Amino acid sequence: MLIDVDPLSPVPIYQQIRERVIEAIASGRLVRGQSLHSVRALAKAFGINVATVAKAYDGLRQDGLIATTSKSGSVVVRDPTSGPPDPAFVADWSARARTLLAEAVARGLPSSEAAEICGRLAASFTTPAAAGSTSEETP
Amino acid sequence: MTWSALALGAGTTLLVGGSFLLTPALARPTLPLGVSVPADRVEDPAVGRALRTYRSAVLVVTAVALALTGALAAVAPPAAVAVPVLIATAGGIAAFVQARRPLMAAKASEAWFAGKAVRMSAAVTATHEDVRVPVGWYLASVVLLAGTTLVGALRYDDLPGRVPVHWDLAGSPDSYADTTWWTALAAVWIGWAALALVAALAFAATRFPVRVHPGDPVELAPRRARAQQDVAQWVLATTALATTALVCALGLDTWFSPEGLRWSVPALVLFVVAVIGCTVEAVRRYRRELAGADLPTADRRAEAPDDDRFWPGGLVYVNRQDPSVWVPKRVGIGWTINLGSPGGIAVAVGLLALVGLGIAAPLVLG
Repeated sequence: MLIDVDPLSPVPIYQQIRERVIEAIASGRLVRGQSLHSVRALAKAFGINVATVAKAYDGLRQDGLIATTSKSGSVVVRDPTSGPPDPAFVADWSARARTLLAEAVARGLPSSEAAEICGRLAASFTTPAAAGSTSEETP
Repeated sequence: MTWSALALGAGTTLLVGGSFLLTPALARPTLPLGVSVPADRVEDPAVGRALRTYRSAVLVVTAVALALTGALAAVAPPAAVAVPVLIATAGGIAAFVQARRPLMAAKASEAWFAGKAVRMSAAVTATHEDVRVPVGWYLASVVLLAGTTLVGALRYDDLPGRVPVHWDLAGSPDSYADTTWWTALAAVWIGWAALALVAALAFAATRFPVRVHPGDPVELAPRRARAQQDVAQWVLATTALATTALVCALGLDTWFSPEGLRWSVPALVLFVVAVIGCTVEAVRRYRRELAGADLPTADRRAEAPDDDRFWPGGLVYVNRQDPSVWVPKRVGIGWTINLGSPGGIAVAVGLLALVGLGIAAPLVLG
């Protein structure tokens, strides 16, 4: 599965890799149990510093989306079929979403339009697997 | 002697000149002469001018080298082979480096990449596409070399006290060494070492990183990477067999033809024909594997970043941030070394040592 990063963007490359992987999991292009390239292999594929990819994978591990073992390498351990997230995450995410929405409204975007955009974006992540899933805990 | 020097010198010079002329056709359109340009500048007059300048310069250099072959063949036959080839090679490289200067200047002054969306692409998951080493070609090389080694071993006791280790351009021995297992079977030992080296490179290459071009549509990117691997593997394998056949002919000449080369000269001609044929076939295969996959502009995701700073002269790759030791060539088939990585520097030193050994060994043995 291909991901793109913009080397000229003010957003650091490690952050872009992390974001692209999260989006891929949300849209069902990456599913639980799927192996990611090793840090070194992905750094070689991009032609970038190993530390940059290591930082992206560290972030994904802290997010609880991937796990790394010496035997299996880095594997996706959570996806939309894994059941609801824990309340602490929802609280933290809500705070970040609130700031993002506030930024839009402060710039003059009507809150109804901001909500509509949010709904449209959220719908784009609804995968067939997620829609038809039963709650299932991450192993 | 004069005619053989003339034929060998002219043939090799034409091969070198032809390779330089073919070089631009082996690069993607957005990398004319190894200069990174955006897709909408591929047809820019500056690009056309640079390519015409390069081709004209290569033609002039090749013609000068050929004339020199003719002149030297009469007075100094050994120089008639070496000097024109060196001139054609150095001239071709100089033409490449010089012709890209105005192109780079035009690109910088007109800011060709300004405002362009630029992306770097990579597969985050393993593709699980097995890159196969064409083992059959290597097995054929092993069988041929093993058979020739056996013949040499059986012949060893009947060899004279001294065996030829070097031949002049007419194919007559001009240097001998005491007969030992090392000197008598030198050709096949070199053959085994070369075969092992190429086979090791082929297997290692299956793990070389795949670089995805962001200008390619998503579905084309893996096909292109696959085609590049397949073609490079095929060139390695066929070149290994051609080289093996050449050293086997040299071995047979050492053991059965003490008066001069009998099989090696036709083998050398066949080798040159085979290498040219393999290169042409490689380009044909590459185009066939990507048939119908011309880049639709509408599907173009973005431009590749302008990474000219990592390619001094457009020929060598030096990027300290890139952990890869081997990277796909910018121009041509196969891979090149990242001279910015410790592993790349080690490989380059090792290859230079091998070349040095190849030059020094005949002098020491002689």
